[in-house]
Amino acid sequence: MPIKGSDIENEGILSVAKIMCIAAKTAPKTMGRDSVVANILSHNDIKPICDILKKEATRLPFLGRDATTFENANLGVLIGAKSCESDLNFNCGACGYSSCTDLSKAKKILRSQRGPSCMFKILDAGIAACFAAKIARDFGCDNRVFYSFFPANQLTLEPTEKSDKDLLPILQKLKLIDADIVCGIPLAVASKNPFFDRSAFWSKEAIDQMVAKLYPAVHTRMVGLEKKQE
Amino acid sequence: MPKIYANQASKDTILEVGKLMLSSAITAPKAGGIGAIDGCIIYGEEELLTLAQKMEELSTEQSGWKFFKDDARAVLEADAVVLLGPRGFQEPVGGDCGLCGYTCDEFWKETGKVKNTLYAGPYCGTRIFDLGFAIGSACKVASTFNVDNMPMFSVGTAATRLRLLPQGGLIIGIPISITEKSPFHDRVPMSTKELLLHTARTFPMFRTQYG
Repeated sequence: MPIKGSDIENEGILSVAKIMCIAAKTAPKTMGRDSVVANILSHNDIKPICDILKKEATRLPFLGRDATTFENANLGVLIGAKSCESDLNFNCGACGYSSCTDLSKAKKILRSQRGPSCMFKILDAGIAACFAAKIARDFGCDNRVFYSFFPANQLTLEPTEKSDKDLLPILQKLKLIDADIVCGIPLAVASKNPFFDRSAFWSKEAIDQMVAKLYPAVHTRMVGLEKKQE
Repeated sequence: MPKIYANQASKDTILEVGKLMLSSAITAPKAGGIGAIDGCIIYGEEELLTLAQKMEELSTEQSGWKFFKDDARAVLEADAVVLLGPRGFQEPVGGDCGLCGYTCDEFWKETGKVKNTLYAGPYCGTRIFDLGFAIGSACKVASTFNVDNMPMFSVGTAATRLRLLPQGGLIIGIPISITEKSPFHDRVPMSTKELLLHTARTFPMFRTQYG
C-alpha cells in the first residue's frame, strides 16, 4: 500500500521543527556563551496566543491580522533568549548602562517583551532565528519569522487533552518559553504560503484609513487636488 | 591555453561571495519591513592590517576585551571582512516592546545618556534584533558556498573607532576566507609580528598539532 502524502505531513513537519531547534542551538553566539532557548508549539498551543493577540488588536491593529494567519499553522517554533542579564563584561554601553553589573541590577519592566536587555544576547536570538528559518526553507516548509508571538513570553500553560500525543514528551509541563525576548516561526504545509499576502483579509478602505493615520505625510497631496477628486 | 589557477580563483570568488552576503542581509526579515541595514566589504592587505592593529590596541582598554588579540590574528589571515550595522538604532520602531527598558516616547529622551563607553546607549532592541537576522542570513550564504566565516564583535568595535561605516554605532564584522583550515577556529597563540614572519604554508601544520 502506498503511503499518502497528505497523511504524513504532520510527522514530517514535526521532524523539520526538531532540526530547526538543533540549528538554533548550533548557531554562532557571542563569546560562545549560550542563552538561546528554542521550543516547539503544537497547533492547539498556538490558539491561546491567537486569543490574546485578538484582544491586543485594539492597541496595534496588525496583531489581529497576524492572529488570523496563525490559525493556518500546523506547528510553531519559538526562539528566545534570556537577555536581561549579561555575563559578557564588554562594558560597551549599548544597553544604556555604563557596565554589565549595572544592567543586571537594573529594574526590569515588562511590556510585550522584557527589558532593559543586553544587545548582544538579542543579536544571538536573531542569528539563531535566521538559521532556523533557513532550515525550514531548505526542507520546503512554508514559514515566516513573526515578532508578534510575544504572548508566549507571559503564559504558563498546562498540556491540554487535545494536544498531540507525539508532542507531549516535548511539551512536558509546558511553560511555553522561559525567556525575555521571543520571536516565533509558524510552519505550514499549504499550496500557497498562508503567512504572506495578508492584505486579502482587509478591505481597501480600511488600509487607506490606517495609512492616513500612521503616515500623514504619505497621504497629503497638493491643496487643490483633494477637492476635485471628491 | 588560458587557465585560472586555484589561488587566483579564490581571490576572485571571495569578493563575489561578499557581495552576495551583503545582498542577503538586505533581504533578511525586518520588523515592520523597514530597511535599516547598512554594510560594506573591506579587502586588501594594508586595510586588514590597520584593522588588526586597531583591534590589538583596543584589547587593553577593557578587562573583558582580552580576546581581541586572538581575533586580530584571525583577521590577518582572512581574505576580506564584511561589515554590517543598523542605520536607525537611535530611533524607535514604535511597537512599545520594552526591550530597551522604556516606552517609545521615553526612548527619545534616554538615548545617548551613557557617556564614556563605546556606544552611546540605550539602543532600540528591535533594530538590533533585525541586525541579528541580517548577520544570520549572511553567514548562511557564506557557509552554503563553503567559505569559512565567523561573526565577530571585536572587528566591529575596531570598525566603529576607525569610522569605516558612516553612521557608527553597533557594527558586527564577519571575516571570510578561503583556506584549507578555517583560521577562525583553533587559533594560533602567537603575536602578529611572529605571524607575519612565517610563511602561509607552515601554519596549517602548526594548527593541526594545536587543534
